[in-house]
Amino acid sequence: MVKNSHSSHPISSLNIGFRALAASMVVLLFLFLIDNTLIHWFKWPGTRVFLSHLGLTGAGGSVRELAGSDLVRGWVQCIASLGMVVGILFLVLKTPTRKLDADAELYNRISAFIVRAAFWAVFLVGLADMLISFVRVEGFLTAIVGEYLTIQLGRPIFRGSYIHFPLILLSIVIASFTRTLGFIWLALLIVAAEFLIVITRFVFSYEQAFMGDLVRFWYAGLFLFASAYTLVKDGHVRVDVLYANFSDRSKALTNSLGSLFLGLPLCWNILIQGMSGKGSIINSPLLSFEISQSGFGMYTKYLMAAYLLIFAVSMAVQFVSFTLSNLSVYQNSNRRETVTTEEPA
Amino acid sequence: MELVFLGVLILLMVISLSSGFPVAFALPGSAIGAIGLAAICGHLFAGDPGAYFAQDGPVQWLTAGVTNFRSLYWEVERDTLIAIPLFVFMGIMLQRSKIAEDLLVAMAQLFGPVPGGLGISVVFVGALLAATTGILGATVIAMGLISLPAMLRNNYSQPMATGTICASGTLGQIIPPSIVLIILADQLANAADQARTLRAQEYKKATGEFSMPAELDIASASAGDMFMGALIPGLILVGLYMLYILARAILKPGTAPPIPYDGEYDRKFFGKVAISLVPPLSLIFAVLGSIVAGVATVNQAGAIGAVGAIVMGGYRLKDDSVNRYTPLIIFIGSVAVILVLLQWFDLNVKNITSRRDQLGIILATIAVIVCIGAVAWSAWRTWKINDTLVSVMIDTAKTTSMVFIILIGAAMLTAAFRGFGGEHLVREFLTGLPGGFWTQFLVVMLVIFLLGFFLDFIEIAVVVVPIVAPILLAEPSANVTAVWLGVMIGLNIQTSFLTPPFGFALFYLRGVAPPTVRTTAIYKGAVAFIVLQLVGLAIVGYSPGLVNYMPARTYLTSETAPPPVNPKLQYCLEEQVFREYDERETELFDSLAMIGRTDLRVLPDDWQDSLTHSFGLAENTFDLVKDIREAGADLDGFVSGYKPLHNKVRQLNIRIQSIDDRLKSLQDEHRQQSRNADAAPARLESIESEMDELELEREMLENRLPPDWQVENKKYKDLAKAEKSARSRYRRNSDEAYEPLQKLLRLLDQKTQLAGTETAIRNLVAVIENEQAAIAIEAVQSVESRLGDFDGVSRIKSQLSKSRRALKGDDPDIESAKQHHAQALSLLAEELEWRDRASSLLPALRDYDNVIKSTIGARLQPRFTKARAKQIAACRSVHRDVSLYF
Repeated sequence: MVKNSHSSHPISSLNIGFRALAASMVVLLFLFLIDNTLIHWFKWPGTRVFLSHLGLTGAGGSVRELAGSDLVRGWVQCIASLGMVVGILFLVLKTPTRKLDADAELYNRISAFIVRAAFWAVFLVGLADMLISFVRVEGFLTAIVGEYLTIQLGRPIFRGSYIHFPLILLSIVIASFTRTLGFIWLALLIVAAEFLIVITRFVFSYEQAFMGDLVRFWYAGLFLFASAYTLVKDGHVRVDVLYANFSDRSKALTNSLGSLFLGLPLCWNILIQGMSGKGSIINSPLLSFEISQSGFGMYTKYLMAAYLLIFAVSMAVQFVSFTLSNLSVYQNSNRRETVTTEEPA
Repeated sequence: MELVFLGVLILLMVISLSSGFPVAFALPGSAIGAIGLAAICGHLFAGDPGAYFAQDGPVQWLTAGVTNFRSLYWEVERDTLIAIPLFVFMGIMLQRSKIAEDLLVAMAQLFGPVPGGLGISVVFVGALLAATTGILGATVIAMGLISLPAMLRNNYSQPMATGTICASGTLGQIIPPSIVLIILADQLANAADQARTLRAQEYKKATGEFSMPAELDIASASAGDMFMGALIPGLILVGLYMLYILARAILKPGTAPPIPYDGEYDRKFFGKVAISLVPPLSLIFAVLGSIVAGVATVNQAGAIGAVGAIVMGGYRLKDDSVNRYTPLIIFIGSVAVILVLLQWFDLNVKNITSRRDQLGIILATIAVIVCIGAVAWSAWRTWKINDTLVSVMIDTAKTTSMVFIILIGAAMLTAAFRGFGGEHLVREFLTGLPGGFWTQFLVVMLVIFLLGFFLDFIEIAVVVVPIVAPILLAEPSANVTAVWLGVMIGLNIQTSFLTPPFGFALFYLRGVAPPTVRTTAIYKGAVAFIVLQLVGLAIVGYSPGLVNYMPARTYLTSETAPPPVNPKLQYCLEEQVFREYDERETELFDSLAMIGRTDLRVLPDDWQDSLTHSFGLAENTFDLVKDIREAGADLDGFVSGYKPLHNKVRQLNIRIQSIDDRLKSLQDEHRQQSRNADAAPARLESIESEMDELELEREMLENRLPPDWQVENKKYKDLAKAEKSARSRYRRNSDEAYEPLQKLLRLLDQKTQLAGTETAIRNLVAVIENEQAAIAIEAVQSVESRLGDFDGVSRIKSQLSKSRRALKGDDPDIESAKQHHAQALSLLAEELEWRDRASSLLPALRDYDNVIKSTIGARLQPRFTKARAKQIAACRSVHRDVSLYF
């Protein structure tokens, strides 16, 4: 590392390397998600099948011949993916003086945006679905929306597609225009929702499955969405018998290496195991709009499978950001040390 | 080979943990790393990624990890964890709004003039408030910042001051409602399930029977159970601490001098003390009380606590307004109104039958809205003043996330640990230890104690407990409850946190203590409290009733309590009932004689017969009890000599069993390898030699089985069987002796209500004659369902349904319907008539029932009386050795 400090040039080329690595990790993450969506929701062949069709990954995988529109889709997806990777690398190369911190901040904002959108989605969907479930279980639904819609609202696919998905889109819009943390309100919302149960149960002897579902829906969101923020604020507990006595430089090294070799594998493991096929534990509930067994509960269980996805993606982006910012700290303290040792000479 | 990778896993874990990377990611990261390495090595060197796993392959274990992760919020059984964010919210709100600080100051002023008073106040406040956060560091730091300067300023000796603070800071871990208890409960519930499976397997192997009797089941632990179980031990510790401080202060006044209060003890002073003391105390009381009384679930109690904290924050933060206490007063007022309304009205919204009900609901709704309004007003204040609400929410989110992501990470680690056969290894090691349960227990406790130097409570609870708890819980000779184990582990970790030189609490306090406080003083101060901890551990370890009684009592007196006939409770029930037979023998005989003389001729013949028969059976009961006692005495006499033999053979059998398991897996591998053409011959040879060794060892163990074992075991089994059959004879007999009486009493009780249905039935005639068939059918059906509430009216009902069926179809037969209807009516008249006559017997029957219902009729009561439930709880809270069943 000492040799890097002799001139500013090697540092910035090293920086470009780090930034390119970080950018490609984030792009790969989103490409993976897009690939998964295209395969399972839009019946595209997907990258893996397409590559094996071209004979590029022949060994092991079963070769499937593609034809017609599938072939076209394969080419489109493959070229688009390559284009994205090349594009992002190009962007990195075009801004060689950009600091690691700047990129770290960008990824931090992306992660915060994902979490904010997820919070609004969970908040709005939770409220809306609770209201629908309440009205439905009490049998008022027919009077309000008519027979046809009542039956439709009893079907998870309909409720998901026409109630939840628009609300989720709305949440993404809200998240783009606001700058608050969002998820912290879930802490108060859980208290409110559980207190509602206390009141209705003890005062009015009224208790329904959807009320417990609402608490569960929000509480799972709270700790999974809060994780990325907790990482930034150093809220995740460490064994600091040694760490407390480390220099800033060693701390930064620990954090960046840990993010790369301990944190990111966890996120990727969740994504790969959860989305490797139709029956995987994230894909399967989402595809089938799984609901809880209690019958008249909320229809949101399938969204709770997506929490894992939100957790893995927000954490992965956050870990990339965390690595960059710690590398920056590492470099800076490195340079300072070198400067002080060089001065007497 | 998998053991090598188990080593790799542990090595990776040690490196990543000690590097200081957050535990929540270090644990799963090293698990994934180790699984990945094993898969790659397996692929490269054995041609199979799954080669180096104890069973299954890398993908299965990685998926198992993710599935465990999801189950945290996906499975309804783990709902109890929801209480964590609620209690964290409550604790942080109390701290941020300075309620905690006020409490300490008020207590110090009140108790200051007593010798050691300040120290006692610190213990008290630590127990109360640390409880709500349960995060060790935060409590010790907060207590250190607030009370250490005060204690030093008032000439407390350094060791005394620091020791008190460290010990009180750790108290919060064990006193409910602490979140670590909730996590322990979650882990122990799971462990108890596994232990139950283990024990059932063992039972099957030992006896050859498929289903294990319910009384051998392992008591599980819910969060509420843990809270109640930890309550008394926690209070004992608090008492020990306080006594110690008081004693030191009296014997050596220099270490903890009394602090004279400068101000006057006037009304203002007591008002201030009351306002800072009463609300937090009543909040804790409401939260714990609702759990202990079995009224609210832990989650609901958590919500009550959080809302209470908001209301308290609302007035504490606003200190310059005339309206300061208005929201509090409105809140208390509306809650009081609701409580009164609940007494006066039936507020069930699903069951509004009268104007009065409506009125009640409307009034209650208004009160609820006012109550919520008061809470919202308080919340608004906490939001506006110093951003308290936002900072509380942020801290709640961070703390909750910190806790849960560790749980998740540990789930993945456990999957990897299992994948490499680690669990099996630990079991082998523990069960191979000589000395049975207590050696195992001590080893585990020692390991936990040492781990406590490096890991926080939550990590230990989620990493160690799932691995060792099932083994300890399954052990039948000690037969400990999950709650007891949890509390012992809790006390142990707490002691570990206090132990120099590594104890966590000491580190935290060192961080905030002024430099004038020497580190050796902190260490010295901790020693006395460690001794107190050990005393506490010994007390709780020696008398498990302190832990088990409260949960058992709440369970048995709650609305969801099992009925006395539940097979799990028979052993304890009979202990109580048999004692009562002795105490009230003459009274029972007198009553039996009296009822035998009663003239039963007013009853129908069949009732006369069955009652008379039941009286005879009731007299038999005494002989049957004597039989049980004789059989029991025979058994006990034999067992005292037989037990060592049984246990010795059991140990040998367990070892033989584990050799057999190993042999079987070796055989499988051998078969696989020999089928595989390019398998290394060296591997085959090593398997064969290992198998030979095992065979030899097995033979040696079998030779060590005592020669008289078969004979003695047979004797034991015969005696046990005799005792068991004596008991089941008794149970059957007492049921048959009580059932007729119970039924008859029920019939007679329903007499007036049954008479009330007569007009309804009579009116049916007109309906059948005049109305359309469909309407008539409906009318008959509604009367039938009304009769469904009564006993002994099946014949009437069947006539009515015959009448209804006659009306069905295109061509309703009205005549036949009327005929059946008339028959139903006359049957009813008959029924009413004999029940009316028999009412003259009621006083005598009731007297008889009152005498025998807690003895002969005990099993058939719908629920326990409170006194009986307490007795049973006391009996069940003692750990009973059941090793002879295995």
